[in-house]
Amino acid sequence: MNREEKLYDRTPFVRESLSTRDCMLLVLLSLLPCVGTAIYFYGMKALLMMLISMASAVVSEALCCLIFRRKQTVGDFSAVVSGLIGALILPVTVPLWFPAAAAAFSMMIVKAVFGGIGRNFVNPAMTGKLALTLLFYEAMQDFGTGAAGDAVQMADLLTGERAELMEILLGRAAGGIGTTSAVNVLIGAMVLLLTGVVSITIPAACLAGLVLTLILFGGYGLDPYRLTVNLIGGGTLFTAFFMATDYTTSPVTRLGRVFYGVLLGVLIAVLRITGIAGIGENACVFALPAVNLTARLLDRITMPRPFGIRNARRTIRYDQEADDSEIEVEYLDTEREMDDSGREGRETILLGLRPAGPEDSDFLLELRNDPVTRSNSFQTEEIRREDHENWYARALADPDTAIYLLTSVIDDEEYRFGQLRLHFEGGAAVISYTIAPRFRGHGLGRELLRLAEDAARLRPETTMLIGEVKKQNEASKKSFRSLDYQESELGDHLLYRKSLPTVV
Amino acid sequence: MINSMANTFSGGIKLNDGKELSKDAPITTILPGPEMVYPLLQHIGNPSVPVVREGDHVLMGQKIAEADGDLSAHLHASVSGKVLGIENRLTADGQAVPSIIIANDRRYLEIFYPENRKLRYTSRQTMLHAIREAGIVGLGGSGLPTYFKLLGANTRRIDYCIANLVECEPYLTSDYRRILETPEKIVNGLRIMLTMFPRARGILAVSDSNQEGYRALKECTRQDERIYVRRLHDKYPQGSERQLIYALTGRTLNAKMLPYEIGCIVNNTDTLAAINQAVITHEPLITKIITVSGDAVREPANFRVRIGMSYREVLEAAGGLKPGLRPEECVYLDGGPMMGHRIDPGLDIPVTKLSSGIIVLTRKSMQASDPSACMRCGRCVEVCPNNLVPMQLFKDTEKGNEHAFIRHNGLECCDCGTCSYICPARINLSSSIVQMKNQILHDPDLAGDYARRYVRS
Repeated sequence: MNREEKLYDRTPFVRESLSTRDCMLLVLLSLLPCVGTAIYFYGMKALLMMLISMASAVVSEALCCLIFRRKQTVGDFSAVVSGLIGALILPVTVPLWFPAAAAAFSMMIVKAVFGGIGRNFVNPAMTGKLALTLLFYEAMQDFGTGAAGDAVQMADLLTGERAELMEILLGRAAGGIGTTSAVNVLIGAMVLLLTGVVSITIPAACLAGLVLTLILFGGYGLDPYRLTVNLIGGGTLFTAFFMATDYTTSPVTRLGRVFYGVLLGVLIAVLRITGIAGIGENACVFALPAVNLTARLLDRITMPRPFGIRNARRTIRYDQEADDSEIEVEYLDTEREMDDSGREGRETILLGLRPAGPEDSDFLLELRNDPVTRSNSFQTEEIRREDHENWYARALADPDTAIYLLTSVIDDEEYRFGQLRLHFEGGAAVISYTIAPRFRGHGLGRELLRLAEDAARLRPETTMLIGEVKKQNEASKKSFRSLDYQESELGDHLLYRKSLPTVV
Repeated sequence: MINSMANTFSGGIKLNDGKELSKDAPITTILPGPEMVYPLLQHIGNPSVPVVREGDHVLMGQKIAEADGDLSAHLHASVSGKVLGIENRLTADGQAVPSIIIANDRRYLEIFYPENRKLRYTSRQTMLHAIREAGIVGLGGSGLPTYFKLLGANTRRIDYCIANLVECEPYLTSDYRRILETPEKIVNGLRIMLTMFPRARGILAVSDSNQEGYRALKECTRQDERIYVRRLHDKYPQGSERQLIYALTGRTLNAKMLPYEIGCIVNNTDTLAAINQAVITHEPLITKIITVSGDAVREPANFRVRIGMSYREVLEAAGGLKPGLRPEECVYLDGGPMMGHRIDPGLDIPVTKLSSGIIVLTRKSMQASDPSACMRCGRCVEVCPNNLVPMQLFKDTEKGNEHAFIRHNGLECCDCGTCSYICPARINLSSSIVQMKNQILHDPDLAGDYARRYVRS
């Protein structure tokens, strides 16, 4: 089938219309208010920075696709988005080759080398800025004032110089060219949230983590001024809404995202409080890539539990306290009350062995032909009904073979859980047993083996119990081992032996 | 009172359901052409064994093939005519299956049916026998012989008999019309189930979007103390068995288990109507209600169709393609667009017990595009009704790593296709995952208890 045909050949045949490119275009749309901030306060230079950064990103990605012989991916607009974001977080005072270099670095080293979109493990734009910060520290700290008048630096704000909150909200503060106006960032964020491109989980968790850490450890307690400055200044909002929510570098599970967001918020706060990263602006620069590194790990440990996996079927649990083989049957896993017919939902049933009779032939045939049983037994082909019936008739008549069924009577009905066959030979009883598929995994095999010992004692000359098991049969291995049988290898099978103490 | 959950389940997605195209089209009976094809395998289990030969003359309703064992079903002629022979014919899922070919004599002579039974005087044994004799299988697409399903259910352990009237697949409206036009048949089918399970309560589950159906059913069941009508949130795949049971009763079911183990029996609309027919009027399963719809169909409709009729004739009855559309510009589907199969435009396949709809979509409307790289957006994780991580399972499938697939619970997948639907990168998550899953299920060593639900011979 040619490629064109293949497109129309896979279920489902309808799809949601939002594509990767649509997501990226929506992100670009939501960045427009921030672009507006940049041009308004910083003029032509800002515009140039953004254009250069986007162009550099696109060219770098195209080049890498060529070099690595991959299909061109610039069409999905992710490079344009990275380029734009990369420029918006830079100070206006940097030379024009900085945005070009950062964009090239982020596309080539951070993204393409690891396999392109979806494969990078740190945020490209932020890592680009991080690289610049490490290499050209002084240049990156000078946020200048541009046309904003006497804007106040984040560092000054944190050390106590007060400034009009309104100014900071609107953007008259120093910072990355697009990140200074909290209002515009929030407008853009609303667009992202309302269109469903990002979910509120990460930003909310991040800001919550930040605020909490500041309250507890910031040294200023609940001082609203400090908290607000930290929230709306230093590129925090931009990082939380536009960069921490980057798909590739954030976890995919809801719980993972919560942890991730909180971790980011806490780390930003810690870096600001301790001043390790330098001025407040840099906290995000170091925090985000660090937290990025935990995303895959968080995914792994918060993998969701499949629906219904904690089975709600009739589980059969062995009640340690009781004597005899008393088993607890739990009807439902949930705590719910069943109905008003009076049934509690828990019963204790008594298991026993009853000698098999001709009427059990069908049940035994089903057990023998169950696919899992066959793969664990020494005879793996399907057994025909007449062969089985012949064999069964002979086995019933054979004085040295005893066949029992593990049963219980519940509500006047007999339930058969499995079968046991003992073959007596020279003082030893060879055990073979099967538990019906729907009752496996609940320790019934062990119960059956326990009862087998009693059954074997019915022949007083029996002194040894023997079981032979295929190596792959984990369930049987567990059962035999738990009853103190001695294990030894016999070719590619395992032999379990236990001597029966003679009962006085 | 019934313990209810929030009438929904986690995950899932609201789809454009396209039902407005055919929901107002009343069910009309259409008669078939000269040749009827009856595949011997229209169910899970062993193919049925023919009991007629070439040259035999059969009547409508006569048994033409017998079930081979408990996990199999009888097959009946839906027309009167002469048996032309038994040959391999293609069915909707692309397999060639031995089929009985009958020439339709267009006289529709019926076998003799005894007087209607009265429910009150009918024993459970008789009901089971009637269901088996009528060849009823799970008509929602499962194909599990209903007799076999009911046999395994302990009458004292079933608390809920659930009627799955949700019909969550887009475009399909056969259940919707049935509920509006003949709700008593469905309700009667449920009453029969309740007679078989004396401790159970009956629930008719409809979707929130089907207000008219809800009212019709409530009207119908006003005197029934044991039957409740419940509305569930309009979300796909609400009709999936596990999600349905959870939304109605709060009980959870994993893929190793069968509903009767948690006290529930779930039946599809069509199955209940067929049960009613079989038990009360002795009629075997010979007709199906098929929706023909899609943006490429001239007159979307709901038809009562005889099993064995060719798909081509059914589509023609709906006016065929819209004027100006050529077959190459369209995609033909058997069943709904989420879980159906693609079929050849020649449509030389017969309607079987498992058919539910013929949907024809224009390629243009399908917006198919090449898959691109996964960007780990996490949407597939959000929508999976079984809380799986489709992108991880896809990666395991690509690497052919069966053990990792099982470890990541890929065997719990219910084939709903929601992950593929929502993926912005258009990755074929669900078809790959399902393929890997089926591969593993054929191997009893790996599949273990998961193979219980899949007893295809």
